[in-house]
Amino acid sequence: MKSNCFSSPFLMLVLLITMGVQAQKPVEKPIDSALYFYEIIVNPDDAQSFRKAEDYYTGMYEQSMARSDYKKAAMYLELIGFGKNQIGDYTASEFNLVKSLELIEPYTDTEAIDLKLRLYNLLGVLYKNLNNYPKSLEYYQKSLAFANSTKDSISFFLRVGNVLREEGEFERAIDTLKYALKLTQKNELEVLKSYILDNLGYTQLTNGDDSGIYNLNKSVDIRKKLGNTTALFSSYRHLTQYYIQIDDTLNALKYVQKALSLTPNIKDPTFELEALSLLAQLDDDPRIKRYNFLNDSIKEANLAKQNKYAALKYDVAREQRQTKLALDERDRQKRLKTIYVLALLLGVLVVMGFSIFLHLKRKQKQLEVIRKTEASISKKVHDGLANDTFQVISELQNLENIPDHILNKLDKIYLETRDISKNHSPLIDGTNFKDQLVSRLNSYKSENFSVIIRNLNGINWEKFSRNKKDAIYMVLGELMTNTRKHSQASVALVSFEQKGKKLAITFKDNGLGNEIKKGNGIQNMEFRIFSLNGTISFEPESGKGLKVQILV
Amino acid sequence: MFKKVLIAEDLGWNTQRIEQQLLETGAEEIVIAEYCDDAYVKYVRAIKDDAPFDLLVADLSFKQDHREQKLNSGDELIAAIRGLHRPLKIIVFSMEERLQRIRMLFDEQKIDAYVFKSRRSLEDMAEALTAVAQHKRYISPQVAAALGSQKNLDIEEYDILLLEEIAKGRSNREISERFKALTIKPHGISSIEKRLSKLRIDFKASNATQLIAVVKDLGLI
Repeated sequence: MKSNCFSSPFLMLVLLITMGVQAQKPVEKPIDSALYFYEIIVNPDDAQSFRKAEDYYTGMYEQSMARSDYKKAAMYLELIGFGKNQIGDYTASEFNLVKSLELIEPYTDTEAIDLKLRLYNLLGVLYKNLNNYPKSLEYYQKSLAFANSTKDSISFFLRVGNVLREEGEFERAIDTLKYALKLTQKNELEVLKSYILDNLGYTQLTNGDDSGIYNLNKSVDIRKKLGNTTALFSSYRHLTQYYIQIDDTLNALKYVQKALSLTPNIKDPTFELEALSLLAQLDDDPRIKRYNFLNDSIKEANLAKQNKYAALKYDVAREQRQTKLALDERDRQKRLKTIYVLALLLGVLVVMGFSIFLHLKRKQKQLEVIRKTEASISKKVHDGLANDTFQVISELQNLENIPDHILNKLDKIYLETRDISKNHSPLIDGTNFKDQLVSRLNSYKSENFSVIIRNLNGINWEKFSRNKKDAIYMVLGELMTNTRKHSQASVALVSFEQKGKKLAITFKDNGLGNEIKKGNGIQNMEFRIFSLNGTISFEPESGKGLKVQILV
Repeated sequence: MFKKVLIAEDLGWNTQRIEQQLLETGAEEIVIAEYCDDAYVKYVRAIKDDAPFDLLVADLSFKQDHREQKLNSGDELIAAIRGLHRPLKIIVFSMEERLQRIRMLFDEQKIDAYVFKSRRSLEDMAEALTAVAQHKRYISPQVAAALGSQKNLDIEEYDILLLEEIAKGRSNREISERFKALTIKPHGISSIEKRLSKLRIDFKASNATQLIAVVKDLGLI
């Protein structure tokens, strides 16, 4: 008879699931056709529609995974796992719930935490159904960490208490349930309170403590007041079971009648069946007793077979899963490694490219600043100093008796300042470079000095940067000034030659070819060419003139 | 000559001699502006008063000072005045010696004369005034290259070939025959002679021997 105390595991499951549904019905908001499948998965009716719903959610799950929307994917898995639990396919349920938990693990937003909480509770129920109590407790404990209301905490202690009772830990179960009861005192949570009282009373009675009757009756009172028929049925069932246990047939009959009287108001016929089977247990007829005995034995045998099969299936599935996981992990590591290497490579390239870009930009900016500074100095010398000198000359010319050598000296100063200005005056923006260069070179021509240009038109000037043209213009100007001033040359030749992307310029005069003093002029020219990564060499040859080779 | 003249020049005393020159040639009214903006306003006012200027003498560079100016250079002043599309003779009087810039003034702003500031600018100015009064252009000799042909500066491959032939001691007749055989043009003796005399001028050589010496020194052959 002892086995009869737990002869209705199905009913216990119904009770727990109903409670579970109250506390943790999946919140995935169903829309249009999804609503249909949602109803099926939460309350499965027949195998065919359930399979359809399962297919639907599996499809949704795969789509979400393809979109990398792992949160959505986890929610679909939860629904599948929930449904599988509803139809008693615990292995599949466990598989889906654990997978869902894995997916949602990294997220910490409210939605994700709610899902985690639901998953822990579902797994707690699941393992309890699989009689794996330590595992069940473990998940319940995890859920406590996320409990954010007293109600959550109470539900938690209630579930833990029930698991402990199933495990045979009556004392601990009673302590836990009492603590949960204490929590309800401060809050108006009558429904929960009735559950706690019911379970507490039943556990106390099972443990041989008669005061359990008092708690069971209190639960009955609350449930009557709330009009909660199925819950009331559960209370009566517990009382009946208790009286059967202590062989008080009279009281047992009284409560089983009460339970039976409720069944017309309950749609589910399993309640009536349960009540009738309890009633049958109280019958003295030896044939009915025999029927009960056989029925129980066969049920038990079937259950054992089922459990064994489920356990087997579970083990195989777990084995397969672990192998797959290991393979996936290896794949993932491999992929990750490739990604890391590629990312590193890309990073290095980007950093390199960026620093080169910055370097070039800075250089560009420097050259720009130099050009502007030079232009402004050139203008100041020209408009200021040269102009003033000219004023003095013209004023002196207006006076009489001014010695000619003074005027000559002043004229030399005037020329000198103009040369300085000229050597530092850059290209005029937006006009033809070739014209400007020719004009510049032409301006050095005189009766005694000729400038010859070779292959100016053979160069594709468009191809060269503004900076390069600037440097060429300035350097050639400076060379001309030098030659005309110091070399006594009569001819200077400037030849151009395009060498791929570079330009080769050869300057040659037929002057004295004196050794060049490393003065400011040379330094300026070198600076201009070097700053463009070009080369410039000065090759004076005594008596034959100066040769300058430039490659930019 | 010119009756009413506007001078844009940033230092007053410098213009005395020019004023004197203008007065000598019959100018009746001379107005001096030290800033380009002033010059422009005076020019526009004169048109309104129905007594327009018939000559503008302008410098190109003006020293920047505390006064904020819209027009900062003679170029800008001339461009603004030319924008009014009025008949006006313009003489630029400046130290600017960048030929390109001077050429642009003649080509784009249609100035009539460019007098370069130097010791002999007074003589140049006198010549310029005479030329412009006769609707002719004038440019000071120091910067005359601005309007000269740019081409004569470039040496061609033909010249190099010619010089190489001379360096080998060949006579003009021999060269002519060789060029003809090689279908190099021009190969007529007179053309060759003309070319050689131009090269002698370009390379400042008085005879063929000197010419070869110079081009050898320059590394052309």
